[in-house]
Amino acid sequence: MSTTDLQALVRTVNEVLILASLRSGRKHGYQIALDVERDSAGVFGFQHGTLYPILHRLEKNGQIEGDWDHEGGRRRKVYSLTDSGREYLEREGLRCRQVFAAFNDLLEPST
Amino acid sequence: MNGFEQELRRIADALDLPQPVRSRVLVELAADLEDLRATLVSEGMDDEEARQHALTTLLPTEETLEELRGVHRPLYQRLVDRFSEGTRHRVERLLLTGVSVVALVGPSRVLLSLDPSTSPSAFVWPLLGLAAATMVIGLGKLFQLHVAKDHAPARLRSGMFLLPTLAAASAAVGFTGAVLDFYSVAEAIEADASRQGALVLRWLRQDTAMLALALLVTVAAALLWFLAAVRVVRIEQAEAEALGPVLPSESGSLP
Repeated sequence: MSTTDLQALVRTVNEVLILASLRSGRKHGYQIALDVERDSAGVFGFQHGTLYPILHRLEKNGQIEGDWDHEGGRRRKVYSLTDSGREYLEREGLRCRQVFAAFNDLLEPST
Repeated sequence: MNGFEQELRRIADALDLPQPVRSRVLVELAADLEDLRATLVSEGMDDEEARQHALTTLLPTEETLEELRGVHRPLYQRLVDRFSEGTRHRVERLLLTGVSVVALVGPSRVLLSLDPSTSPSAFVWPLLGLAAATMVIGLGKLFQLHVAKDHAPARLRSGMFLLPTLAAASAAVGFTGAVLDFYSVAEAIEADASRQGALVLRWLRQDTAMLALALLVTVAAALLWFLAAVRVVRIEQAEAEALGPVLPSESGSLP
């Protein structure tokens, strides 16, 4: 696997993590970051704002939708999954599973 | 004040994005930082620890900001980024001046020298409709901006897209009309070749006037949109600067 392939995989995994987190309902950016970290027991997590370029790219591509909520006189951006995002999640989620399954198989001691 | 002012100001300085995207990114970030810290504190974390955790999780580094710029950079920006800023500004000014002069002076002179009322092209009427719509929407926006001073960004932006749409529609009607009129004349000549000269002359007269009108409506709609858009962006920038990158709790009026 080349560096470019690896970067693409990391990017896809990050996108899948966000989309999977949004499957349970609309969330603010910080909630996505928090839920991904907690649901994966700290294995995955977004640091240094890396969440935002991914969120905005997914929004631009129509895979998620960003709306502005007014809560207590403040504006907060909240994201939800679109139909296109659901399809993307299914497709890319499957691809990630296949990649990680192959990785697991390689790590298994041969019998 | 939410305790992240310094960090957000640093991000704001480094965030080279067009308005209103820049304000939206800052508002989103400010709210997320504050909410994450509040959530962690409510779960029992020490306030300073929660603050640091929120910053580590959400505050973009220079590399992340560059990625954000990449996501939001307009196509035009991507194209012109290869030239130096000075060259770009000079070329833009020259082009804008040239296009405005050619587009406004040329058709105006043609329109003044012709009398399209004698035998106008059928496409003049939809163009007059588009001209009327352009004037109503354009003047409505200018009234909203400069007279009524209704500067709520959402209301200002509402309907703005109609002006470039009208500009494009006028150009399309003018071009399509000229082509269809040409085919109609060609058919008439085919039926009666003896009237060839008169028919071609009539087509030239009526369609020159019609195309001039189309160009004028296109330029007027584009100019009205440009003037309104510049003003709206300035309002949004002023609002973002006045509020700072952090939204005070009583405010809720950013785009």
